[in-house]
Amino acid sequence: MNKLASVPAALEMNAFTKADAKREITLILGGEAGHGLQTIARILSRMFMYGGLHVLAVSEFMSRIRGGSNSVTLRASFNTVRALNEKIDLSVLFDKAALTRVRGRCSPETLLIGDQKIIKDEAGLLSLPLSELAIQVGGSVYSNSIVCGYITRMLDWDLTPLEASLVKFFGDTDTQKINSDAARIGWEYAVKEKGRCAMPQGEKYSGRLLLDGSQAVALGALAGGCNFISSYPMSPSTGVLTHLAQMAEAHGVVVEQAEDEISAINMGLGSWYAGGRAMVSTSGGGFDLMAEGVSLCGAIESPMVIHLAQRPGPGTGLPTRTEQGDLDIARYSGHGEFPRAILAPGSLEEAFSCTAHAFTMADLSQSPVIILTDQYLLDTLCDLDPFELPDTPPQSRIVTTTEDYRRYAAGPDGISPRGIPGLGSGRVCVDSDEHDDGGRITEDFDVRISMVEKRLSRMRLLREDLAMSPRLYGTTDYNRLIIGWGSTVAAVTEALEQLKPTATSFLQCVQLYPVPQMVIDHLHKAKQIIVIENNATGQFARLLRSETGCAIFSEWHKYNGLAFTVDEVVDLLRQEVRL
Amino acid sequence: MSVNPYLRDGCDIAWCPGCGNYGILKLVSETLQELKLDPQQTVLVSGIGQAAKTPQYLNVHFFNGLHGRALPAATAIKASNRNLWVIAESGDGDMYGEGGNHFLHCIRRNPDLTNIVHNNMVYGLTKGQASPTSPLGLVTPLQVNGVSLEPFNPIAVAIALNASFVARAYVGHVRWPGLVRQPEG
Repeated sequence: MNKLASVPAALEMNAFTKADAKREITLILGGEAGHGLQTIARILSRMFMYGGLHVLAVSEFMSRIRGGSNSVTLRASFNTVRALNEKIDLSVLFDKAALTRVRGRCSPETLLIGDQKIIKDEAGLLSLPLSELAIQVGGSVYSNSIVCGYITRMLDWDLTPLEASLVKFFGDTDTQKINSDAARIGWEYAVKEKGRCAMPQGEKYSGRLLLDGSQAVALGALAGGCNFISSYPMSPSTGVLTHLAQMAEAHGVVVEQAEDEISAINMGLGSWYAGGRAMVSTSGGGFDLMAEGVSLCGAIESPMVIHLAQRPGPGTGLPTRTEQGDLDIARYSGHGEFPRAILAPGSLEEAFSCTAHAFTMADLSQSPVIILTDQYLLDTLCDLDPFELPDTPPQSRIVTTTEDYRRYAAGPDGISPRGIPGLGSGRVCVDSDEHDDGGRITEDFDVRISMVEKRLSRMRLLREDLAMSPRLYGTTDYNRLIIGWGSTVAAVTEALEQLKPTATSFLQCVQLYPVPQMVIDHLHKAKQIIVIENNATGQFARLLRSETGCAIFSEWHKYNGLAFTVDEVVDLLRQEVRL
Repeated sequence: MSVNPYLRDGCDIAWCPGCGNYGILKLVSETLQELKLDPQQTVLVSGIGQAAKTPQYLNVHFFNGLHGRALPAATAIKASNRNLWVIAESGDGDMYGEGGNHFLHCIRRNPDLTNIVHNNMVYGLTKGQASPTSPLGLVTPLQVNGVSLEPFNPIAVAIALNASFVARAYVGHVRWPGLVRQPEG
């Protein structure tokens, strides 16, 4: 197994340790787009991290630049937290609409904070007169830092971790100094609420990262040797493109905003042809446009890495929400028959390792490799250990051609040595038409058969040598096997930890297609299989059935545009498994 | 006349006798020879159609991709190895119809490549339907009452987008030096 695919230590350790409710806090920030919820979430998340806690920030927002009703939920804990639960300790409301939106998630114990003038008559509201306080420092733009200071005091923390976070966010600038002043004003104002939500600080550790899923994918791409990305902006895939753009100069990456997704993938293929290591990042609608390019990739036996960031469809759907609804198109897009692989990271660590491995996989198998993420993973912020890099940097498999070079010469596992124009003395000819081993058009039926077989024979590499293993959580001596992929993983593992059902384990499939043998072996051992998916029709369950013939006892679906919470999985387990 | 080393020997050419594509193939191969472009550093990129078969008959690297998508691939090939001479060559349906959007944005990007379009004002490979440059009123098996769309004017569009070199010629005329090769200075 590739070292990149190894299990991150932090996740493994905490996957089944007891979550301690007294040693964790969940707070929700509710308001319109433009209120700076994301800013507060970033600043507070880092503050929690500097305070020695683990943190998770999940954004839930509407598809608009201003207005609407958005929220960010932050969960800070002594344990690694990678999923949300429903219990809210603290709710900061920036407008009246936010109250309506978060009400369902608040309990009588939830502390509500907001400006009395805006929220008006809400019993028990802790009033924070933001507009008045902000005037003292220079205006409403500093409200965010006032809120951060206020919350800090409620935790019974001093300002040190918050100030460090503000320095990280704003740099050592005048803006940072004013924001630190604003934070102090909020902190001082909270004198009466000191310790209302008391939470000790954890053991300080240094070198932790605070990243979102998009950053993890972008960094994974760099680790995989990516030096070319062409894409068209589309939520929620755009973050990967912008992160790579920001790192492009330091890491030598060609970045191009293509005129459409069709152009994007054809550019990607052109880059691989000329010696680049390209990736495209898109969402379902854009991937639809890329379908013919995926097929071309299969025809010319080009490596290609495609990041497919799922959001709910069909059509424009819910652009800023989450779903696992595009596995079918990842599997079946593109006409004709050719190999491909689909990887589905379930954590930020895996977003990094899967993306890095996708480049190796694509390069070695000369096939498209799709990294299937979703809005939840990409927009989720959490703390994590520095990524483990492979021992050796990505190896180039490009050969120097000789005069008699034939691009599609027969080779083991259907792999022909891959030359590029200008390196060596041979001609590199690739053709989307059926071609002979020299890449020239042919309609010879015997050549056709040999080319079809050559292309398909590369499947073995993807299924075996290059496959990413599934991860089993719980006992190997199971009767009941819950199967999931991607963003459902954290909620399921935490729910199982809470209920500890007997003889029940969770299998997280990292490589969805081709289905690795290890997954099939696990399926055969199970007496009862349940598949959990963030979609309406059970796309992975269908894939497993068609690939393995396994019987699936039950399927758990969710398709309202939000990810599964721990509590929802707990309920499902209780109801369906009768715990 | 000496044999042009840029032409590939022994090709089973798929064009009809008398087709204008032969003239363009001759012009392109002679220009490559005149410029002494290193065939090891020259890539022809094409889409799909009769014109798009041109690279098959030349002794250079080629990327024969999808219908309409030669320019994005060509752009990335140039961006990934700037030492390569990159020529994108296809027909009017390919470059102006299916690939019209790429044509516009490729000119905006100006990625230092040559785009040769065989414009016969009709679809050849799919047998006679109207192309974006077909004249008004042209009756075809599909446009049974004649073409009703204004023809696309690629030269005007290219010039309006400030393309660095734009030229047009009729393939039936004798060789026109400098047509494909931009004059120095």
